[in-house]
Amino acid sequence: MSSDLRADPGEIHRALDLLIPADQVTELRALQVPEGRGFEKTYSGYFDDRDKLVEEAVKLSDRGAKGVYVTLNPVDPALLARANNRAKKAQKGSSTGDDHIVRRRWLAIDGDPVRPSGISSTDAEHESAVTRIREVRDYLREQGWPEGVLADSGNGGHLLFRIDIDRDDNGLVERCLEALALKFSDDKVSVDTCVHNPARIWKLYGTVARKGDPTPDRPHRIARLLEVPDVLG
Amino acid sequence: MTHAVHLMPNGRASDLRKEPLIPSTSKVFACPKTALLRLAGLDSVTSTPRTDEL
Repeated sequence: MSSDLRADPGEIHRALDLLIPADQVTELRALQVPEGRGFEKTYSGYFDDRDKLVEEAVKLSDRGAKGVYVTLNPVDPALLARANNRAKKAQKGSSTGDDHIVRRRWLAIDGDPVRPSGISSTDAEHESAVTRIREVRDYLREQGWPEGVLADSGNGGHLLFRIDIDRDDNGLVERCLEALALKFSDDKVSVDTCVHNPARIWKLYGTVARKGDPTPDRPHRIARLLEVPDVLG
Repeated sequence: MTHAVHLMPNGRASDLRKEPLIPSTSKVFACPKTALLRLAGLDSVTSTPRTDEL
């Protein structure tokens, strides 16, 4: 069972233009793409062609992928040779490893509603997570941080800050997430501390988040950018 | 945006916004590493050892 939501290519283009330089090699990964007869496969490919990346992302999302993701940080261009501007069924070990990342360019913060795994959030859960991530944004703003990008993951909230640090950061990003989790996580919303690794894949805005079957209470949603500061725009 | 001024434990006023932002790609500016260090509790003034380092 799936929803009839369709990916939004304009939003995908907007997100990629904001988050990823046009010439940066990026892995696209689509999880649990239906293959018929109940089978599902992961698809993966490497892209430095923006239009082809959007085309594949739309295609995989509209085929019913549970989620479509990209690597935010720049990937070793040599990996283009694994699947050059196309997505194919992923083989074991074919995804981007942390040692394939050139540099850390984004601090990505994920606020997710606390709920059983494998299901979409309710509207109330979704709203509370977005509200919480706004509170994180406001707190960091008070600390003198630059403006971040606020986004809807489809189930919760995202906050992204541009950084420019070495891939091997001696745990700096992890400790930042731990500090935020300590301050902002509770029994309703969790600030995910697991998303610190440099090769972490991130929901591609404009594609559909399909965790579990959609129900009236727990619908699928399109991930979207919510607030993009002028300085980034 | 609020202009944040922080009073550090040694009484020194620290203003993150006075630190140079690192120009990166196109129109995007990076968050200073010092801000990350401060949040993580790893800056030289406020650093506190983690429990597992004691």
